[in-house]
Amino acid sequence: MAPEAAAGAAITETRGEAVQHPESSSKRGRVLRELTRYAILVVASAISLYPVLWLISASLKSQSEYVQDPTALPSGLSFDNFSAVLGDHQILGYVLNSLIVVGVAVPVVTFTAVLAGYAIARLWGRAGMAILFVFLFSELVPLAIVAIPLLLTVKEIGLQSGLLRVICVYSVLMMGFAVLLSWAFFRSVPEELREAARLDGCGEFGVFRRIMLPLARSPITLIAVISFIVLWNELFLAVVLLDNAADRTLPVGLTELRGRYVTNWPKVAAALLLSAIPTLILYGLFQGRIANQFSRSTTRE
Amino acid sequence: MASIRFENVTKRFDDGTVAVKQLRLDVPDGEFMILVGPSGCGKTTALRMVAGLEDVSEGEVMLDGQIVNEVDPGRRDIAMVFQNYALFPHMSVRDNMSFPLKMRGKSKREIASSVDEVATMLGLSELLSRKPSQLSGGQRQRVAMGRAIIRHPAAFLMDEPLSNLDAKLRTQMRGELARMHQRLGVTTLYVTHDQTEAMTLGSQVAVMRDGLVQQVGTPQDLYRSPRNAFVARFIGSPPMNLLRGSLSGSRLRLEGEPEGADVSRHWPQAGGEVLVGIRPEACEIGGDDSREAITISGEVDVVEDLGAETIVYVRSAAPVAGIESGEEKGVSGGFAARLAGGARSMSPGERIRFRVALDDLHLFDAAGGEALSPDQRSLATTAVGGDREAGR
Repeated sequence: MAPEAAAGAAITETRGEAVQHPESSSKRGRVLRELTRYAILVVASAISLYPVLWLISASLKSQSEYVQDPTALPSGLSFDNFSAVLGDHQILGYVLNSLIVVGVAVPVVTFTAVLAGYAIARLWGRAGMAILFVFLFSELVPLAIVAIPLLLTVKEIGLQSGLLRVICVYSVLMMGFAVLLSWAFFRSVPEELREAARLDGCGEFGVFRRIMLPLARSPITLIAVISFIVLWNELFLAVVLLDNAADRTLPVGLTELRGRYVTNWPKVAAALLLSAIPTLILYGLFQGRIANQFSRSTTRE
Repeated sequence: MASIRFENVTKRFDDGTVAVKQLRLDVPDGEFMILVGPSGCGKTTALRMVAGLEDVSEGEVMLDGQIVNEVDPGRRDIAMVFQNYALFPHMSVRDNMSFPLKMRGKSKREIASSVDEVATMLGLSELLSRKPSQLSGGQRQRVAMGRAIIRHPAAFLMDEPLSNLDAKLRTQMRGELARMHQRLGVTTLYVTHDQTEAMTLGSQVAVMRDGLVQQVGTPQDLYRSPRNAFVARFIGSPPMNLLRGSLSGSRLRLEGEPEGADVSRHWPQAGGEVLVGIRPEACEIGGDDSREAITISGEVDVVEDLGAETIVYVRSAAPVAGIESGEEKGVSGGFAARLAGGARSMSPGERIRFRVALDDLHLFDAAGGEALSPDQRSLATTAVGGDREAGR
């Protein structure tokens, strides 16, 4: 574990140095390096935080206040927009649709990817690698290219329900990433663990259930959380695939909040902020484990 | 308990490499058999075939008289200790040791009492609730042993179990392994590349090279009458010196040495180019002239004073031959001589002259490396073996 943590530190270190003067080992150099580092971070944070701050500011204004000056700070704290969103049955319907889609697709993706990743890494040999390349390749094709064929395909195979279409396509959408991650994890688990368990009387599935699955908690969490975040916010494919207004997922629904002539931007801002809450909660809960998964492997003894 | 038997076993991998060729080996019930050889000699593959972790390409692997080629690893009733221990990282020590019993459907009470018993025996009682990551190397090693012995298997397979430990711990665990075998008496097949482990642990040792068994015997057999130059070099540390020489008219001459010696009594029929094998401890300075001997002269290169003995590396006039495979590179620094502790101090550059008694010589065919008239040779060694052992 320790060497990997150190390696992680070394990577950040070299990145830092690449930006600044590599020869600066003197105290002044170090201060300068730190300053540059903070400056970059501050700029980066400002860039990503500004839209969020703007959203918050807009969501607290009334429509008339917004029209007068969209960028000005709100005159007071008014949560009318939020209560309007939460009382809007149409929006709540979108939320329900999103929950159904994501609630089915994420477990499907996670379950399938963990099984597939293990089989590719440990059971299927070269055939497995061929399958992995198929998954990898699917990640390289831009969505815009496959969107229309996808729509035709799901219609062709007779998926009438819009939600079912989205669930199927979403599961496929995340599968490449998920299988790749799960494969990479299982490949790092020493082969001897499987062999030892086999000798101790475990069957092939027993090895998976008793040894591999408990070890894979971090990658499983990572796959589930990232799939959730991506799919919860997915807009493009949903727009293509859903032709029934009742089936709209939240991101699609929010785009419909724009009126034909007038758009209530403060209400849209409030809805967008509310829609980000599940993602924030999930990320907050699992942040530690996600960072953990990226920085070190839990399989080392 | 069970015997292990290889009946003309061959292992051919998918890429065409043959790791084990026509292996025939018998490990009788209760034996501690060591498979030793340089890396890549097929010893681990042989072990894994017994475990059922590798398929057998040809021949038969037998456990307790039954052919087990097609038997699932879990049903062979054998336990294996892996080089990296293969402890389950997410389980406590107790759970790791319980695992094989749990898989066999033992009751909770039975499991708990077995674990406690084995833990006491291995000194792990205090550590039962720890995770493997919280243990030292030696402790992990013990847990791996515990997981193996807890279900009283018919045989143990050990794949270099000590190689991840530091030297001191390795010596200590070697002792524990030997004691455990004495106590449990379970048939053990033990793979190592370390000839010291092979010599000290095994009651029988099989030396392998390039997928072939070179010689099987007790450590003493291998040491005193190696069947070929490879075994001679592999067993013993520092390894046996091999010098080029020739034999004609029952006169043995070493290349670069003017004097020869009459060896008609030892190798009456032999002739031609030979390799002359000399154990480092067979070298004497001065010594009594009554025994027939040959002499080797050279210049002292390096002196290693180990207290009880001194190892002197000499640049000899006679060229030192090497056996290409399995040599530890850089270790053979010329001709090595082991002298008893009180040997007078020597300094590099000094001229030195050894006598080696003819009884202590090993002759090998220069082309094939086979020992010359090994039968006669082993008779000779058994006859005098007793007192020479005492003298050493």
